[in-house]
Amino acid sequence: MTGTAQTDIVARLRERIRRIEGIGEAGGRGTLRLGLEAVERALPDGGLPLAGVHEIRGGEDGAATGFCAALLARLQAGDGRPVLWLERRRELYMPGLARFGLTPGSVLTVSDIVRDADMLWAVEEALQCGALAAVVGEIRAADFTASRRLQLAAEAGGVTCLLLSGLRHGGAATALSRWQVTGLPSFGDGTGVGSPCWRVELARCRNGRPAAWTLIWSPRGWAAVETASEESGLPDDLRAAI
Amino acid sequence: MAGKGKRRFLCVWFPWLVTERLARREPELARQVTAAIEEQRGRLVLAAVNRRAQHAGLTPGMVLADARAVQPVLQTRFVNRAADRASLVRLANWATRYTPWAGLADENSLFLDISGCAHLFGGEAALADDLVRRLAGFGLTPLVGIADTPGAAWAACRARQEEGTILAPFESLTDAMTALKDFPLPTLRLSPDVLDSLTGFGLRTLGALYPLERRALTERFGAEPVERLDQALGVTDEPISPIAPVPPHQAREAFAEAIATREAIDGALRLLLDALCRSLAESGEGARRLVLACHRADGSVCRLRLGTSRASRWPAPLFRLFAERLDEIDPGFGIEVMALAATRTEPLAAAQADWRAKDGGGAGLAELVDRLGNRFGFGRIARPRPHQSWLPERAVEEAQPFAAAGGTNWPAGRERPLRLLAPPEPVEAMAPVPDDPPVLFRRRGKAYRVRSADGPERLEGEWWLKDEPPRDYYMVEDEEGRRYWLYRQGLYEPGTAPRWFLHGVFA
Repeated sequence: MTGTAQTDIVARLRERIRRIEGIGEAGGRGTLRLGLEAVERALPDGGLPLAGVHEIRGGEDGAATGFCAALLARLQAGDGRPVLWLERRRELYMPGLARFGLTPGSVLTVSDIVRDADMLWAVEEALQCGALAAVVGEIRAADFTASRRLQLAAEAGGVTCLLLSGLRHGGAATALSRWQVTGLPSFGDGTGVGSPCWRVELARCRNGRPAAWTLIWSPRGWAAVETASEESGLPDDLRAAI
Repeated sequence: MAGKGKRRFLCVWFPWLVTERLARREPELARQVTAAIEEQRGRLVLAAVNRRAQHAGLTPGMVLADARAVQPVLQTRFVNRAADRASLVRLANWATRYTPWAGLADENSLFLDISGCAHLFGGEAALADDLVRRLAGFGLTPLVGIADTPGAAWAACRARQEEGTILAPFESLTDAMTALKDFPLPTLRLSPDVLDSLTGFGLRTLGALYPLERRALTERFGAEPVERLDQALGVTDEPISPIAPVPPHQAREAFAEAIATREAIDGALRLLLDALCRSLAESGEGARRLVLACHRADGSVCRLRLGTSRASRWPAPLFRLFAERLDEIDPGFGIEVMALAATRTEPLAAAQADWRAKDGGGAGLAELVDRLGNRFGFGRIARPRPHQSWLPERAVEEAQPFAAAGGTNWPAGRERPLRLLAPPEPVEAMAPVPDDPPVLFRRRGKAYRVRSADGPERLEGEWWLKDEPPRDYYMVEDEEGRRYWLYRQGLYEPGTAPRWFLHGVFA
């Protein structure tokens, strides 16, 4: 058997598995392109599967929130429907989120959902409603049953779910992908604060390949740099922006 | 009375309300000669008496000393007008089990507009029996009158001693006059001094007033007798003021046997929602606030309130909203009447805004907002939009989920954090050079070494908020790449330590 035939078989089998699981193109949901070639190479079908649960974990800084907002803006832009952000507190600040591409009125927030049980209920309800482009839930932990319920609700409603959790907490037991986002010192000329710079790690991804990148967010979008020290590797337009 | 013949009023009079209320707290008072007393012009007089006291010849208004001379064993308690009124208000609330139009008539009687709802309870006589039986269960003695006008109903319950009266619908004014002819004059609801002067002239019945010239009557006794007579006969309308605002749309179900199971409550709620939604559809409205009142067998009422984010008149989603909270209803000894009312409505053909029309997803989203709102409170759901203000915490307006989107975007060109702490968290900061960013700050015992910073950006409250000092904001990045928004409150003044706050977190 030649290498090409093997690859074909593997691809077909993956396709079948995806169809059984109701994920990916086979489910008619498609994927979300991130606009980052380096990252897309690690993802199944070159994008983040829609209508599924993805977990983003981060520390006390705003890096994970920023990454989540950037994903949301991409989800919302291709969809037109609003996104719902379920908050543990009442902190989200729209003028700041707008920097990542979220326009006024496109975000609905529900604040002060303190208990995880309430949060999981709200996320599940929102996913089933089907009138949203995406739902963000700030959870501490979700056991296997709860995570699975969310995945089923996301598939049923055709809505993408992002779970935002802290590094100190358990997070979701299962998710299509798990990202870990932490802040990195920004590149700058030393006179002021530069553009946000994150270490984004794809810790787990079904049908994907775990990897880590350094991403820089500029007003024009994001870009990946190979290593944090490799400033010369920045695209020209990005270098102009930071 | 053509055209008004459909309206029917019930008046329920509690002749012993004050003393029966006392007897509820001290049951032995019911078996004794009891009077409620109050001070009038420096003397103690009887304000109300119980039945035994009346039989013993005591009447309200008597001076206590005289009463004691007649009845040395008289039990007295001070009257509490506020509490008496409060108990009458509670009774009026209770009476909304029969009709939403229940109001106070005077200090010891209630009016109920029972137009078109007596059939739910098996007719007027059955309704009156039911009312009397239940009130008797509370230890009260009610007398009931039913007639075409509130005035006639008021007269009917007082016309005969110890017995209520149902007056047949009046066919004409003559008919009404005949029906009320022999009623004693005190049943006309006159103030005591007017009544005194009329009886002083030897007038004993309502019929005695008919032949008198109205102008002469008014000149001599004021407008009251003519006015009250016209109201009783139905010549002029008398509005009754209900105890609670009467919702324009409501439905009620009375059960032959009290229900207590969830299935029965569900079933009744579906019937009520169907009826209410039909009524809403007829007037082209939708409900924003709904109240389900469950009248329990023991007379207490359990209310469940819920709201919707936009007008709705579809039974199925409304039922789902209620279903999540029906567990809050404790049926107790059973629910006898369930009443559902739309307390706030809006025209349903309201302008469709933004995404609601797209993909037909609007209905689903509205339903979701309702479910979240009823669980967490509608105040927690917002669709933030820009607001003109320099202060960061005021630059966002938490609009209603379905309010029209603000056309403007967020101000560009200014770095703003992703999360804003409310209230700002006080931190210790070291800024060796005035008006320079801090080099270090401490938050919750942890030190953050500042690697780079931007600022200051001076933000001040609007001129009408003069009491707030200006703030100098700095965006700082610590050695690990975490970015924070700090501000120093007030201007630098030599000798005083500046106060620093952490206000936000950047990506």
